[in-house]
Amino acid sequence: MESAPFPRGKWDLTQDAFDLLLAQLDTDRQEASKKYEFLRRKLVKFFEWRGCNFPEDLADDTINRVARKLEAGEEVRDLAAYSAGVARLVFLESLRTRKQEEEVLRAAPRSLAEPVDESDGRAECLDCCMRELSPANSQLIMEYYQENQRARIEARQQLAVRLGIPLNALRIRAHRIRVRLEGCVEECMRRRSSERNRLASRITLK
Amino acid sequence: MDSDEERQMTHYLLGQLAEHEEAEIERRYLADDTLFEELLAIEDDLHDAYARDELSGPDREAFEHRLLTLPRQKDKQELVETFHRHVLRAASPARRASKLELLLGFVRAQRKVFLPVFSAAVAILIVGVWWVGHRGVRPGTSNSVPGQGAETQGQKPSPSPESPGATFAVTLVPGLARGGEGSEAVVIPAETSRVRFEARFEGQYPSYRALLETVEGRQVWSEGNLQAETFPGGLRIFLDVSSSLLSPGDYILSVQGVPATGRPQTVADYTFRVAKR
Repeated sequence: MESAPFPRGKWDLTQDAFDLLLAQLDTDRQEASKKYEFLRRKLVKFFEWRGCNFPEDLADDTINRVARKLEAGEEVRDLAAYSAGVARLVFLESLRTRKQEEEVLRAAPRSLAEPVDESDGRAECLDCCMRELSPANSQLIMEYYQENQRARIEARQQLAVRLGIPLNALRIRAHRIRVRLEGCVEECMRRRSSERNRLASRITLK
Repeated sequence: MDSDEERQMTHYLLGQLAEHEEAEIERRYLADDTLFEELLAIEDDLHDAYARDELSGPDREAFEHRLLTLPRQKDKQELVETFHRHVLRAASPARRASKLELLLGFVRAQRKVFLPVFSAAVAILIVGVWWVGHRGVRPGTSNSVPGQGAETQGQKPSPSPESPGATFAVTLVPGLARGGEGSEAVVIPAETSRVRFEARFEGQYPSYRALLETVEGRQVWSEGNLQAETFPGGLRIFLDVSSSLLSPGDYILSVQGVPATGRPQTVADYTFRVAKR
């Protein structure tokens, strides 16, 4: 990485810079878009796991800085390693503003509305989403997360043998099913919430 | 990934590594998609272990500090806990691995009678008989019944504090997973008017709420604004439930800690089967 300072302050990602970033990720545009999304997801988790309050903002800031460097003609051989370095820099900078962020979050007005207990809705959504899984995936996830700790370890080993995959691969497979379930439940909860709001506004109008 | 590496990744997620070790892992997963997914899966497992109360004290604290601060992390945890209940419900009663240890004492009138069915349970338990039931327990007036039921929902226990009949005591201890076949049954004698659950757990909160559901998910009883009392084994709350609410079947009792701000967190789930005699 060159010693030139990274640009700070607000800078919007230009189309040219974005195109350069995509080209760096893959020569095929569609593939590059997928890789971009995955890189962004990794960066969001990077900041989340570092305990940052606004991981998406910091991930976008990192990507913007990388793209800007590319636009400025910087030669980047290993984009992942380069992004890791920039992310680390952004993280260290964020530490300076973290105290201010936390004060802002504390001072933010809280909703006056009573918090809605969504546990029943979540359970219904989960039931619904479980039914949307294929029988094989549903069985896998139920076996993988069964209640008893000892039985769970044994069940995972047996599952891995049955599927002919190593335990790590099984874990990733279970994780992917979980991601799908989480997305489905999130979507279901959003639908329920907008339905509730719609009904509430209809009652208010009456 | 071998077990050492997995441990290292777990420490990373819990924020327990030195700065240079963290940086090294970050450099690796930003370049390696498989490693990143493995980390996500380990994060899932941590959420799961937290929901099941399987993390040690320091890890639990680190988890709360590192992985339970953002709203979406809290949402994720709530979903994990919902899923955990779903798994409990879906498991067949015969194979359900209970987190329950039962100590049952039944006292009828002035007599103490231990039902034969409980003698086997008592033999494998680590806690002893602690309570003697009596007629006409007054919910909220006895020192040993800290919960006042300020936000009781659903069906309430018998409203009459003077209601006659026997009280049946059940001690619930989480975290002692029992892997055997079959499940312990709480056999409630016909004369019983009230079942007093002593739910033992760890996890200090300003107050607690308890929720009793059938395994099919039907809410049977709940009570809020409960205060825990400390005892040498941790914390406990007492819950008096009218026996008329407990039809034969399988139940899940959840105890949630209610923080000063934010959403309640499950501190313990107990499963048991009710039978009547």
